[in-house]
Amino acid sequence: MSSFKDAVKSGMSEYLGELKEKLDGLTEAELHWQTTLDTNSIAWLVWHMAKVEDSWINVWVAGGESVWDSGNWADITGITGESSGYGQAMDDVRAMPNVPVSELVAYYDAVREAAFRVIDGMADADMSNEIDRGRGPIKWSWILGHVIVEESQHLGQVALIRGMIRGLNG
Amino acid sequence: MATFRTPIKSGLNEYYGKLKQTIDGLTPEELLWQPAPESNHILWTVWHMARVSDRWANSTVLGGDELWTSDGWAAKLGMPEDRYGRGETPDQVRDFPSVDINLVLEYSDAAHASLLGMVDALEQSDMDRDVYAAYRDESLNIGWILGHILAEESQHLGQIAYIRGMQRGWDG
Repeated sequence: MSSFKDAVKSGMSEYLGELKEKLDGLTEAELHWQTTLDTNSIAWLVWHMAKVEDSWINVWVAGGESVWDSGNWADITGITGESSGYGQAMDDVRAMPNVPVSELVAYYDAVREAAFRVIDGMADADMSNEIDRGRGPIKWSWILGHVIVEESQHLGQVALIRGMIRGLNG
Repeated sequence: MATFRTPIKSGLNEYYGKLKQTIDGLTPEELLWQPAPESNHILWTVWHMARVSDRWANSTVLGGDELWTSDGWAAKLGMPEDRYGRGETPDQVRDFPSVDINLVLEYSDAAHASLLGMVDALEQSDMDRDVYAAYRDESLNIGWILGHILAEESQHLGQIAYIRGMQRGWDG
């Protein structure tokens, strides 16, 4: 690696790569299992992770269309609505359709390809750029750090749920 | 001038601030509760996060001694100097000493400050450099380590938040 930018991309590659490992071999029932009535399922978390990255990088930073829209992923997955999942009610989490997780991962891969094109096009000075989602200015530098932190948190949750189902080495 | 060092420091401060919020008000019982027999509890996870920061910053990257030993934290917490958390058995997690969370957080604050100091001490050219991690018996690239610290520590934070949610409900 030759720059701090590479370190940021490496962190992003790490959590997506580990997510795929943690999904490996899970059954549909395991993917949709909720540990309690108030907790998210693994499938919901995968969808949410991909939507979050799509929204922050491809829409808010790049100022473009989401891969969700440009790739017609609502039609492909049957998941409707404009939400990325933030603040969703537990009924919404339970109502998520039984999408094959391979489709969610394919969407995530498409999001990532677009996101890395955006990041590759950034210069150091762009870290001071700001966006405004209606609640005050947000710096690009904060967004990049936040994406790694938020997505990795969700990965940690996927790993925890898998461990609860399968045991420590399952 | 801004560089991509900024998002790395921003991410470090974000997960650390959220960690403090997420454990706020938890009782000793909640801190030690395990959602399944082979799952970690919150106290263990907070302690392990601090050990991870201390080791990456002070030992692996900067090549010095860990605060765990050099500042006597192992002794203060009554724990072995070689205890780190990686690869521990469910028995070790279950038998974790019921140490004072505030003492663990004092150690954690010091370890987090070490991480920030480490990032400030690094230059772009260091991203290409490898360091030897004795406890893993492998050489690791410093650029990879920076991304990994964010990903690993944030995963543990997400687990703490989830375990809190299991006990308190999603708004609790």
